[in-house]
Amino acid sequence: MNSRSSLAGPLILIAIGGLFLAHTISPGFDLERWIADYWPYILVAWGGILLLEIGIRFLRGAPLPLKPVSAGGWLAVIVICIAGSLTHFAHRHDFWWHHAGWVEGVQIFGQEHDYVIAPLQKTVGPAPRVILESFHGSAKVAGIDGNTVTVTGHKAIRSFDAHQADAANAATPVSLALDGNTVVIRCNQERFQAHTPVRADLEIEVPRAASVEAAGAQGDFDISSLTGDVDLKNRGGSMHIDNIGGGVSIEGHHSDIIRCSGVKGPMTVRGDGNDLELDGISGPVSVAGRYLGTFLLHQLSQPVEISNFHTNFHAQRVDGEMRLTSGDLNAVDLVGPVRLATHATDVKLNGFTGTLDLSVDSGDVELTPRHLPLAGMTVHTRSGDIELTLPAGASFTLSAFAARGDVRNEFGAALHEHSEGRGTRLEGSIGGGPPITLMTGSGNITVRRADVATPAGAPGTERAVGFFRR
Amino acid sequence: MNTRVALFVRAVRDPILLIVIGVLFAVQQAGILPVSRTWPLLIIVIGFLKLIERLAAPRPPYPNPNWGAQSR
Repeated sequence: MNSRSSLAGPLILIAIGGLFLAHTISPGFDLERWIADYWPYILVAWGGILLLEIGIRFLRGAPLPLKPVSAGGWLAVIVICIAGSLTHFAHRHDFWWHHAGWVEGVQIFGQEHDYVIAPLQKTVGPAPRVILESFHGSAKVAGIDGNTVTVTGHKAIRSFDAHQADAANAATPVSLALDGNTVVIRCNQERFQAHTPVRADLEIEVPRAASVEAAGAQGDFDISSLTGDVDLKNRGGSMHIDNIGGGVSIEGHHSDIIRCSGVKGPMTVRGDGNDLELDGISGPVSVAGRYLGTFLLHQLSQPVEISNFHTNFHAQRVDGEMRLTSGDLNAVDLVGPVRLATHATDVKLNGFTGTLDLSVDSGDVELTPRHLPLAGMTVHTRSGDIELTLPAGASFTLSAFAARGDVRNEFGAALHEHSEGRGTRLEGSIGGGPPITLMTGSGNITVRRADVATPAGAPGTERAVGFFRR
Repeated sequence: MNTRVALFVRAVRDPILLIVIGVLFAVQQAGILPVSRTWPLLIIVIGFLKLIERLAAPRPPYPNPNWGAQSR
């Protein structure tokens, strides 16, 4: 089948034309994003159409092509793969392009002019609502004792000549407006941003009981020592939130790092970026996003709900920490019920209590519930080993099945092992405890016996310690 | 199997490879597995298709006088 007889080329051309038409008719349709995400399906469609054509020719008894894809066709495939991959990576927030920034790139040969922002101050009530309107740059907001809002800082203006920088500075004054209990801080950058990038780095002091709403881009936020709520929207840069008495809501895109500690109220995080660290959060935590780097939860004292890429996690509390990186999830001292579903990740849970419902698509699982009595567990991995280390005095009812693998048992004859098809099953009950179900599609299951971490005097302690001393 | 089936297997090789390449990249973009880890699948698929091609058009393992007059 040469290029003249195949319909694949014309059909793909029509589809591409349709996509561009959709983009021109409806500007909301992000064609570049669409191509970045779905370009591999062009190859799948091309192959599918050729396959269909060859199938029809075969059934009709028509001559079959020796080379359905010509040398030029394969060259096109290589070009599509390279261009598609580049487009895809260029759309990822951690690509260097996003850090370079267009404005900085254009103005790279310009000179940076620095201007001090004349201090602004207003007397306000004890618990004002402070709004920092959308701006480019960084802001450090700190709660202080007193009833004033103070803004200081400086502006960095990149320009080829000093006159233009002066004009940009004059046209973009930072203002502080008071309306009842609301304070609005405005940088007015839109007045000159198109010609000369103006960047403001602000230091803002507000009464400790203030609540803060801020929106920014290409800069860092550092907000601390407030008893009110914080509502933050930022694009790029980092966000550090510390010691907040109220709730915190963050929407961040392309963030380098979001680090929140000492938040008393509820906390929600939405968006995408590299690292996310939540430490010492007293309120419920909800995260829905795409964070590619390190995802760290430490000492969260109310229910946690996480949805990050292919990982969905829920726990009643995180007394220790949970660290999720690419390919690994390690958690210490989770309080259940714990629900965790993840993909292509090795999971290690140490010292959890309460029920556990764990599902891994592909990855090893290592579980060490150190506290007695045990709670029910359901663990499933499609491909990977499961290793469960139970305290020696634990009572449980086990049902473990390795569909293509072996089972190792350190609890002796109380658990019965038998082959089933190409796999092995291990079943039995010790002390009639809660049900533990382990299942791996391909891999081994190990049920180990470990030291005991029960409170002093709890049943089983002496026996278990004695066992290990021998 | 006859020669036409062998030709068919040979003809579908390119489209199948196209589909496999597309799927491998789609899997990478979904954040499941990178192409750097899945590319050996391409070699396996090529080998598999070659195998079917050979099986579809078997050649005699040694010269057979009865087949000498037949054209392949």
